[in-house]
Amino acid sequence: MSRTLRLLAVGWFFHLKMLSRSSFDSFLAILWPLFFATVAFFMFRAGGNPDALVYASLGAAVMGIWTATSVSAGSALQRERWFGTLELLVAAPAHFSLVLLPLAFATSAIGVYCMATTLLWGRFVFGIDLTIDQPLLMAAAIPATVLSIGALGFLIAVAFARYRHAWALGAMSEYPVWLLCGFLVPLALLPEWTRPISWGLAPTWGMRAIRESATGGTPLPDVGMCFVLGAAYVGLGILVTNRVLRAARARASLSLT
Amino acid sequence: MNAAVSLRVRENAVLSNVIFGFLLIFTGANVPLDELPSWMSAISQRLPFTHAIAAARELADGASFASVTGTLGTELLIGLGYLIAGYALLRAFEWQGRKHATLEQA
Repeated sequence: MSRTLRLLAVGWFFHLKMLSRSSFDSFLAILWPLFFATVAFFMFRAGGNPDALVYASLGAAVMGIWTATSVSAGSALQRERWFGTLELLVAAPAHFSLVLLPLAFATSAIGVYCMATTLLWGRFVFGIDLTIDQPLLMAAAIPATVLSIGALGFLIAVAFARYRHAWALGAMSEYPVWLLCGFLVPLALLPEWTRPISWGLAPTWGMRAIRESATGGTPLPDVGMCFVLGAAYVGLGILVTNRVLRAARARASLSLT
Repeated sequence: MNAAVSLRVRENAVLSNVIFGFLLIFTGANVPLDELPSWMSAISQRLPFTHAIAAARELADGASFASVTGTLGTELLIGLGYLIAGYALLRAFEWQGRKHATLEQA
């Protein structure tokens, strides 16, 4: 157990360092969510409701975490393929999911940069005065959101493992999740049939937890749901990993060449 | 013009995404131009899509095609301007690439 935790921690740290190494990628990871945050801030400011601006500010911040995760996680295995390290990682003594999980968590941790930048952008460019009613609960809600989004990223990474254009599939999941998880549009405004989909997505609960802790509500049940769904994604991801690797070995198609 | 710049920029997909982000904010696709600061509105008037979006909105609002021909004409002129600028850039980068043997370095 301690060896597994150590592998996860060391893997996460190294992936985080590698992802942070490129100033170009880091700049882009921060810039990209700011485009959408800016659009959201202008739109909500036009409505003239300061509470709506705070709503948009928090939503845009979590959008940044998801954006950082979805594309990177989708393309994670393809990147390893290009580096020529995928076969080595699959053949490593540790289970492949233990190699991939820290990578997914590192991509969502990068999203914290995006979150911070978006909040600062809202504060200093649009004058959005964000007060956090329950800072301690916010401090619990943010890591829960990041972890659960990372777990969803892990599931995406393994589910798209056998597609050459996995990054496109990851990017394709970006906007529907923005909508379905209530980042900018309240879920109550969406059609009834979308609710079960929203409930099955951890970012929905992460978003709720963050908003509840900011506005003085009760975020702990939402934090709990983040962990439950995150654990479910990891469990499902491990099953998918086993299946994908078995199929790739049987057909000798891991490299997709 | 985007394609022409891609002759020199390695990360052309990223460049396209950045342009997409700018256009999303500046062209009035999502944000009414009245809500933008004046300097942003001034830039908007010189970008592609701005006038086409305005014309489409007017048409959807029941305006006749004749009433938006001016707006569409402006859009076409702007498009032509970018086309000429793109062609000039393409020729310039191509010439530069040949001269310095750097066509494959992008």
